Amino acid sequence: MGQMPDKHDAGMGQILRQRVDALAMRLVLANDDAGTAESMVQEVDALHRVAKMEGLRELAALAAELVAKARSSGAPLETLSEGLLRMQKALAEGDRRPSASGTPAAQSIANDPELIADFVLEAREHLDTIEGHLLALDKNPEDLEPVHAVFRSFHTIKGLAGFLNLDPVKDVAHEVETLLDLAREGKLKLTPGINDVILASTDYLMRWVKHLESGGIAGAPGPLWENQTLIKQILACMPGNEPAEPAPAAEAPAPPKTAESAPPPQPPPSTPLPAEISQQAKSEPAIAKSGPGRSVSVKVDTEKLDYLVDMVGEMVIAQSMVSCDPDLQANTRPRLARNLNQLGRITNEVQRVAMSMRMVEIGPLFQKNARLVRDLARKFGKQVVLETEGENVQVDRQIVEELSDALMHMVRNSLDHGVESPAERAAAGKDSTAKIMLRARHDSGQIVIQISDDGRGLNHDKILARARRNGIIGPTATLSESEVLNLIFQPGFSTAEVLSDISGRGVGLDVVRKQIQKLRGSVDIRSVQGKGSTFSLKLPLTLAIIDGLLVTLGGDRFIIPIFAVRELLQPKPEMITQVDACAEAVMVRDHLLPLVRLHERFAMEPRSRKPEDGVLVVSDVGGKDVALLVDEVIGKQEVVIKGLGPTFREVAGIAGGAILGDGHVGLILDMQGVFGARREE
Amino acid sequence: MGLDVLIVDDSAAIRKILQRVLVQADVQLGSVLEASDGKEALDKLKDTKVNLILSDINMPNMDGLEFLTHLKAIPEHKDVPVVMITTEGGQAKVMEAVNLGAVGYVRKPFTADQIKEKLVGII
Repeated sequence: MGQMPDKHDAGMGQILRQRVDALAMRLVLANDDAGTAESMVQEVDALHRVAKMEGLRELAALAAELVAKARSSGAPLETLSEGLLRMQKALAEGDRRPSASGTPAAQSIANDPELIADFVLEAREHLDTIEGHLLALDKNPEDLEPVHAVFRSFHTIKGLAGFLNLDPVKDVAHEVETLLDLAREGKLKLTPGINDVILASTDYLMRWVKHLESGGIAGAPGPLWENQTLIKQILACMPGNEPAEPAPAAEAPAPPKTAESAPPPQPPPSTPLPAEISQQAKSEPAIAKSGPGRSVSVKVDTEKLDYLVDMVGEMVIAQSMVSCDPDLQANTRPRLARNLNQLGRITNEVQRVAMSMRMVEIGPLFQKNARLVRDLARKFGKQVVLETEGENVQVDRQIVEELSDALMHMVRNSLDHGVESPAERAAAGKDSTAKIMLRARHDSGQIVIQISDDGRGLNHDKILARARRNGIIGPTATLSESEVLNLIFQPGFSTAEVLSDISGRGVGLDVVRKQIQKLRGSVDIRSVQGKGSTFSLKLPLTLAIIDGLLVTLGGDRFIIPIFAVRELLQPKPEMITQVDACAEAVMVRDHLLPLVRLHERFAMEPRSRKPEDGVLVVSDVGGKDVALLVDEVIGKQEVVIKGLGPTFREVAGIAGGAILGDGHVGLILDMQGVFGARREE
Repeated sequence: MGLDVLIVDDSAAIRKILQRVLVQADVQLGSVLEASDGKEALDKLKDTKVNLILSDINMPNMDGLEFLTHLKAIPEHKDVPVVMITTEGGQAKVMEAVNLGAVGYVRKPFTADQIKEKLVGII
């Protein structure tokens, strides 16, 4: 601290010397005109002000004198030449008065816990972002914005550390700042080796932040004060022969390029405090990394993860059982209520985090298809580009795994049937290169994945004709547009005139739909002839939890996945009509919907056999609206899905079970199964 | 009447410290405005005047030098004394700032005495 005024003066003196020298040099080359002279006089005036502030009295006086003289002189350039020479001499003699007495920063500021807490907060924020910026830099070394950002972070930390007497922090931050200053001026290229040293410095500063955070004080020297090895490494990164700032060299001379500075520099010395060993361990692979894509992570057996998620689910339920307990509901003590609330909040947070651990980005799944498209396009002699969107959308890991084949099948299908040959496209006035798009996005609590192409679109008449020929529909059946398109998901349907070995492997789109339904999702088609088709998959965010509508039947409770539910209504007897011996329908706003009475489906005793005493749940099943009659709707509830074990796995209409908030078990309905089973009967 | 001051620094903690140091230096403070970069500082000055500006040089969005350039082009603010806050190693930028019209500079960390000395004759 005590040396800093000297360093400061030396640095400023150097700058002043350079300026005076530069002015003298300009003078030699200058044209003899009034404008040139005046602009130089102005610079001398600026030098005067700086010298004055710096406490360089003689220099300041010389400069002031020169300004006055030059302005009144008939030959200003000569006056300048003379005066600058005098100033150069004065600088060379090093005539300077020590500037402001080097009293250390006021103790009241350095020891103020509030300011130290501010420092911890700000420094942590900065340190947290540095890593991301450096990674961005690894990827795109030409982009200067991350360099500026990292520079500013170290700059702020240095400034704050200075006020708080955190000299070891300030010194390290200063050296890194100098390094980054060179980088942002293009005088130094930030190699991965240098980035490692910057990261090591970040780790070192983070150890300080943690030290201060845990109540450690700045003044007491300890292992954290050892920063010389790190500083040497930072200095070793600087271009050897052109140090921008002479100041640092005064105290810790940069080692000669040849001896110690063989790049890349070694990681910093391990001087972990006992409590920080894990942090150190974490940073080591970071430093030892050689390739891209560095991220600090731990591999965990997925079984363990699933078990954890399962247990967290149980915990959520247990928590809700406790807080709904009648004894506690009657409680009037505020402390207990507050603590229960706190428990509830923490439980929800734990659940959220546990769920997010199952999530992965969908990007890699899309990438698999990019490869497929390239290979198939070549094979078919088609020109196709695959474009993707929303690659960073997070999806349940299990969904990604189980969706993979279905998605590839659909892309294959698009490429095979949807996309025309280049000649055909040209004839239709289209770009000869077709486009297949894969998009992912979140939409009201669900994931929507779209596969679209700009190919020929689905042929409505051909689909209808084939479905009739294959006996999928009766010869006179009239179907809506969307129902016709959905026929291609029927077993045994194939739209290809010629079965190719790509799509026609005996795996039809029916298998794709089954797979999507197994994941509690749905698939929908939009197609415009000549323009292309879009398949939209809607999938739940996670398979572990389901947002359900809790309904009752007799004394039992069932859960209907809420994403499928369209509306609830009270039926009137006249709305219901018998279609045939074992099928009923209900007229909802001029639409005839298939009706299932849940008690009939499961052979149970309802509260009342009169439909008007119950509630109709209108749901979307496979793109069609259907109505389910239940006794009563209790409300919406998030439940953790539990398998029913191997014995009940194949029970049609039941997707699983869940423990409800009050501890009772509810069965989760598989609507597809409930209505599909009815059709088969 | 106190001195109305505008403190421009991207670190909230440093702004707080600067304010304390000014108090320790016996500067009679009127209202203290804060801005986290040059842009915000210019915004704050749209409908108010101050007697003194302390500004950092390295800031995101608009740095201290650009701020100074803009400030000097605004008739009602061009004569407000601006003291630049610099750090060790920032001397080169200080020269630029002085050329742009800054009346002085202080180097972080500074003490109450140091800022007092710098402010003598400015205010």
